[in-house]
Amino acid sequence: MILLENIERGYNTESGKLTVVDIPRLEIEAGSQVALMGPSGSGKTTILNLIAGVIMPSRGRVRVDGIELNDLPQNQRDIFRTRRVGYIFQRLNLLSTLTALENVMLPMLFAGERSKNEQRTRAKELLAKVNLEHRLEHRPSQLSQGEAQRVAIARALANRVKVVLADEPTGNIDYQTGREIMELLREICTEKNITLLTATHNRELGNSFPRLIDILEINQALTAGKENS
Amino acid sequence: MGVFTLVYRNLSNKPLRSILTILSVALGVILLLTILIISSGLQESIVEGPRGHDLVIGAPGSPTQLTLSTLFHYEVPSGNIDYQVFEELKGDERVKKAVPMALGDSYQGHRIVGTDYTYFGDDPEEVEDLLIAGRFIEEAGEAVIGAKLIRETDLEIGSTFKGVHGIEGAHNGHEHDFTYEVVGILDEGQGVDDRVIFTDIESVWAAHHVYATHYSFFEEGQAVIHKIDSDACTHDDHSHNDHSHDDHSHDDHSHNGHSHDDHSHNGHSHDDFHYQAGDLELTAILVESTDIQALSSLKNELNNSSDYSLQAAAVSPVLRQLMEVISEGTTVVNIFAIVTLAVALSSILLALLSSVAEGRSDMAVMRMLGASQIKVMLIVFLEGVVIILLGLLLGTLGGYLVADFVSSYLESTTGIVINVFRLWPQQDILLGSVFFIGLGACLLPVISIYGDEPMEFID
Ligand SMILES: Nc1ncnc2c1ncn2[C@@H]1O[C@H](COP(=O)(O)OP(=O)(O)OP(=O)(O)O)[C@@H](O)[C@H]1O
Ligand SMILES: [Mg+2]
Repeated sequence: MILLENIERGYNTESGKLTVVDIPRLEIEAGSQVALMGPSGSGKTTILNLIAGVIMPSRGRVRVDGIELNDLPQNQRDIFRTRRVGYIFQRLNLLSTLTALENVMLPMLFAGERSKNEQRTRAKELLAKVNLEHRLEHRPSQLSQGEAQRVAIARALANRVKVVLADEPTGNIDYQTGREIMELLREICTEKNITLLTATHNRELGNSFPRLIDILEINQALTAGKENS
Repeated sequence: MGVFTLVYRNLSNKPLRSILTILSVALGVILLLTILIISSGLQESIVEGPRGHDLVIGAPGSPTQLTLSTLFHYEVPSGNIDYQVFEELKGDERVKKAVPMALGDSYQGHRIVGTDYTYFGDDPEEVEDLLIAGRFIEEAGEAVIGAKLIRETDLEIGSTFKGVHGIEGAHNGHEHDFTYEVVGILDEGQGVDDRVIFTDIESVWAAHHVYATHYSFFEEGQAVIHKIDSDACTHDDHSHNDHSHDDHSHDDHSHNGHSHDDHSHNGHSHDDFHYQAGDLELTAILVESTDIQALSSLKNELNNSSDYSLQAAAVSPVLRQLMEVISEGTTVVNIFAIVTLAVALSSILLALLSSVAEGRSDMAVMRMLGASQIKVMLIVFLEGVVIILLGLLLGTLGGYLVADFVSSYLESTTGIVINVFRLWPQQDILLGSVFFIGLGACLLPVISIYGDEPMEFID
């Protein structure tokens, strides 16, 4: 389902090129639910962005749902991302000018696969699934953090995605709410047979997943960096 | 949900800024459009005003005043001239056409202009074509009214009325003891003539009782005067009896001499009009000369003669001077308008730039969700386009309304009529350039987001 091979990705900084991700191989099976564990700055977001096709590796190949991202031009990768990948961000998630309902409709607008009526109906269904049917017309500023994150989950599922990438989805929420939201997300992914990859620095959350990947073990950039310093 | 929902949400999310930006565009457009309409309207009416006449002959004074009062029915004439001048001009080989004009009275603020069909065209049939109803004047006591009078007065075909002394529409002027009957209505679109009452020269004289005292003069065979019959006189006589302003009637002073000064309480000096015994007078004569040489020789001859009771003013220099005044005024106001518009366009630029700055994280989220770069740029661009279009729409409506306001002010003060509600030459160019320059202003913020890495704004 997801395959990273011989990946390297870095950033150009003032002090020269900085390699933050160096992964010989990472494979995640279709329909599985995986936690990507690691401390802050260990490259979790960078890996999710590589999988989503937001950034490209400087070396190596990324394959998602049978598609070689390296072979796609940027606009094709945009389309791939809309239709195949649901992304829940670490922060700055919802569009502040749109209502909850419209935020969920947004990926469907970009995918261009549904009529406006279908968009609306599906968005309502999804919001009902995350127990927000009573908050459709609320703006993000009128939602609690937990509610906003549930809207983001509904939005990640708006198109018929194969993969959901969740970047620290419960980072800003209290423990209890975070657990409930995580359970809800996993439930839906199980039901729809969606591959779920969650980045977190929370060991307890990581341990609740069937598979836990410790980024320190797969990212050689970190060990190399340590040796250097 | 469509792209326009996003655009609308972006705009309505900051309503004050959006509205101010739209209004500033509208304001610039209002100014430019008003100036365009008023200046083109004025120039058109100035160009159409003269009806082919190239020389105006009247009493000495300012040539501009003479031209304006005769051709545009604006302001008071500088005085009167001897009727004999008209007879002489008609016989002059340099003169293709001479049109007599006699003014002095008004009805409900509308001037009564004594002239004949030659004012309107070369033959009587041509004049009939200008009427929408009735016929042209055939005898004294008949009047043809401009189209606007139907709305602005109670006159219609068959109505009778009496003129009031003074042409500035002083309602407190005394009424003349002479009854006119409306026999025809001019079609609309005659410019300044739309608001004027036309009659023949004899009626103006008769109203001022010159006719009575000079009956014998008419009898002597002046061709022009032949059509006067005793009717006008009878009219005069019998209406005189039940006249309520006997003490103001002209009878009094045509007996006791000359001066109208006794009546200057009507706010308008009677000095302009002297219907003294022994004279038949015109206010002005419009001349169409045979060619340019004839025009200048005629003009020089009249202005250099030892007879200081006349002046001849060539129409085109006066009009050119007027046009220059208008275009100078237009230039000044245009500079002001363009500055306003420049401010408006930069406010679009600023509004979009700040919208882009504030919306960077939103745009990054959209990119992360799979919106293409082009789509995100399009959303910003459309935001600008909507501002420009609404500004143009509002500005066009406002421009027409302000121009209409200005034109009714002009009409009430100068009589110059501008029919505002139509398409104007260069209006498309004006609105089009505002649109495209506005689009240019949108491009900068749009281009500024090109190549943005969504990641830089997300996490
Ligand atoms: N655009 C960038 N330019 C330069 N360096 C970057 C950029 N983005 C990330 N980095 C660096 O790459 C490293 C990995 O960043 P990343 O965001 O992937 O970490 P993370 O594991 O998601 O951390 P966190 O748990 O704090 O979100 C960090 O050291 C960060 O400073
Ligand atoms: Mg991160």
